[in-house]
Amino acid sequence: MKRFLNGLVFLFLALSAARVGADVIVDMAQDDFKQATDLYRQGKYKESIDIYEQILSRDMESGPIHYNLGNAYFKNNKLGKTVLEYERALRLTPYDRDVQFNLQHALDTVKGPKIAEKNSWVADTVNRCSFDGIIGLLGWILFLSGSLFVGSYYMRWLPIGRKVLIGISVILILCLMFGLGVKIYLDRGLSVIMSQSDARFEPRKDATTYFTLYEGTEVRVKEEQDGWSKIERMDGKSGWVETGVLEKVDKSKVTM
Amino acid sequence: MNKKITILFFLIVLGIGQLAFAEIKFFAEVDRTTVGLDSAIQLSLTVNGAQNATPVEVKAIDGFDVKYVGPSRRVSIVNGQYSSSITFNYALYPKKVGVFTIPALTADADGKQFSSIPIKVNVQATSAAKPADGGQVKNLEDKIFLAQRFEKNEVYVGEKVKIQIGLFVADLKVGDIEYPKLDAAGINFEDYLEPKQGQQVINGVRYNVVVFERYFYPKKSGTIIFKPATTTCQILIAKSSSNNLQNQFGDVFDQNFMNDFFNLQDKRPITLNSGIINLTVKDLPVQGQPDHFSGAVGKFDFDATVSPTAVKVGDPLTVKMSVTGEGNLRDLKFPEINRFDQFKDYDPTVKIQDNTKSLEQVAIPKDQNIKEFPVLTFSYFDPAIGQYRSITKGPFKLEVTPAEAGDQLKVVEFDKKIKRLEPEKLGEDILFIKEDWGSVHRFGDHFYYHFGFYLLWFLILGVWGSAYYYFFYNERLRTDSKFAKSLKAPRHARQGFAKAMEFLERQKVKEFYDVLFETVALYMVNKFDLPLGEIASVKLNERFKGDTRWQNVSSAVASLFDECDAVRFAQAKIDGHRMREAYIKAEKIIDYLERNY
Repeated sequence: MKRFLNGLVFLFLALSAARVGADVIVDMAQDDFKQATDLYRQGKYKESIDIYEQILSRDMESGPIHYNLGNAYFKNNKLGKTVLEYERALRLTPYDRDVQFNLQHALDTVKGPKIAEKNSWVADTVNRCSFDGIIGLLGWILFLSGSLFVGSYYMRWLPIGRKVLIGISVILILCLMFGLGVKIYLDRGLSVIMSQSDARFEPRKDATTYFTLYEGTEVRVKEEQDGWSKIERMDGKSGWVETGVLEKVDKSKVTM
Repeated sequence: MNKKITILFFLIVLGIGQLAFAEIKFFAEVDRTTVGLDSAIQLSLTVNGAQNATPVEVKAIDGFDVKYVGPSRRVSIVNGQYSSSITFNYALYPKKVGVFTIPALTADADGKQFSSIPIKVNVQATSAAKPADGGQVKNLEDKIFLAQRFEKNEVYVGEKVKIQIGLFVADLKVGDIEYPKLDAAGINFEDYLEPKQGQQVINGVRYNVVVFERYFYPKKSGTIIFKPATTTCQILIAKSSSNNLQNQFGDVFDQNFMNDFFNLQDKRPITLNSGIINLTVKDLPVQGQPDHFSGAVGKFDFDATVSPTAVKVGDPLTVKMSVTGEGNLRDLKFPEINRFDQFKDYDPTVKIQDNTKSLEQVAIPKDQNIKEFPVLTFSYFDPAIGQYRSITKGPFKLEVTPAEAGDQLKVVEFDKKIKRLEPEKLGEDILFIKEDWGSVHRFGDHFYYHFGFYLLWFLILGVWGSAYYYFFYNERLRTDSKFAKSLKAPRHARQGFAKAMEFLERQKVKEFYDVLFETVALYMVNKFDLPLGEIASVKLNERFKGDTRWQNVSSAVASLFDECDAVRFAQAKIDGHRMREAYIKAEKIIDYLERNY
């Protein structure tokens, strides 16, 4: 019994310590964020980039951190990193008009032919939502539908009312699941070119150049093979580039 | 020697018992032979001494409505003679005055047919205790009937008419009366008014009268046929005080128990139809019809105001009109102000409250030369005098002044003379950084990765499931009486056993066996939704014939019931040990039935 109680006390202290430790890390990160913002305000972009990157290296992220870092990279003439950070900010805060505006401005300054992504209205709509947002909405619809369905018996709905409810719920849920699928497809493999590079017909250095990719150009990685990635430009043209010249927006699959 | 004599005595007694058991009798009896139209008699068809008797079916008897009440069973042991009988009870509700005969009825018992003797019943206008007021009432239709009539039989199209539907009742108690249903084409009905009650003497009979009234408006001319109005109600029948069923079981079961089983409060549902009546509807006269007559029929007063009286061009005026009186307020129309060209008008707001219909409309003067708001004339047809009448209000003096500069209404359009501006040159750069670091979370952390998210859904599903189950459980309890009774069966049995244990400990033999029998019998009644008359081992064996589960327990049930009957009716001597065995046996029976059914 005594051992059990000791174990409980230890567990409590360990959890408390972990909690306190987590709070300390968050406080430190917040101080760093303020410091980086001050440096940016003073025009010290390089220093502010170092501190923003330091925050991200602690496995913490938010829309504004990526957004500010993107701004700092832009001011530091790192267009590839700029677009990359804005895209990452947009995934967390898809409704943020500042991010949308700055991303568009950054893409406008990318060299080479202006290539607009030809998206359907479905893709445009889905792009305005975050992945978590769609799942959250799905959860709410499931919750409301289920509660209304059960409540309909108590409220003495007619069977036709219940059928209409089920019909509407199923349609909404199918739409959201379709949207989720589209979101996964659109986000998968989205990458940004970090330095000017040629896209070739084959994954070899001596292969024929098909087109040139400039820093900041957005592409989708379709395939990877021995240090080479098969990419697709937003106008649909595909070619092979060395994997080192691009960085994926999805941070968990970043290949450096 | 004494022992041999005793055995011989019992053999003789049993032999007589067997003889008595074999003698089958069937007879019909009524609780009285004279009955009033406001009452009912009980017809009892009894089969005596039969092992198996099929229920006697009585389909129709001249002069009566027949309603089956249920069976009852009687077991008696008098001087060692065992006899059993089953009685099928019917309630007979008289329909008319006269002498009627309940014909000879037949019963099948132990494979043979038996007939009863016909019975004559004298049906009087009312019960002897409540003499009528001297009028002649021949049948039930004279005691309760429905009649409808109009205030006027000749009306104009659109006129407000009242219809009265009277429910006449003499020497009867009536409840659950529904509002009468009316059937006529080409009519706009209003809702029913509060019903009125009173009394009326017709042909020397005093009737209690409930009068239902509602207004209506004929929409077309010609003869409108009002088909019979219909209503339903319940006649509360005074039951006979000599209730055989109650007497039979009164010793064993309390009054509430009997009420629950046989519903002693008797109601006789009845549907009543009135006669057909016709209404003559005339067209409104064409001669003398005013120009702006808009269909108002009745007796009305009209009023109108315009405010404010001093306005600028473009400022709103409020025109208020009201019509008060009796008539088709819902359909009448106010004088239209959109025909006045000098004013711009907006959609009006119309309200009806009690006997007044009012209108409020905004009108805007377009011109500073306007000196007055024109005359407003309301015309209606007065059916009382058969003439049109018109009420005029106005003109209303107005002081309209020009609108101030800037307030005047202008048509806005693009001025072609104004030069287009050169495109503005805007700077291009990114927007500034954010001061707030927003909602920070660990990289790759999502709410659906957390255990709490799934725990929450688990709880939600649990709540849904519980609510869904609870609803259907309650619905089944409410609608499925068999299910509800079977649920309460073990609870009642537990209470019965507790009571029996008390009597067992106090060595009260008769009370113990009474309670024990009642507990097992009630358990079976509730568990299997059986009528009380079937709670006998023979009947139960017949009912569960071929059911192997029942065969395992049938002998125990039969011996327990025999032991109970022996103590309850034959005063058999039983010791405490035997009582305890009976108690355990009863518990085992119920336990077995609970596990297997």
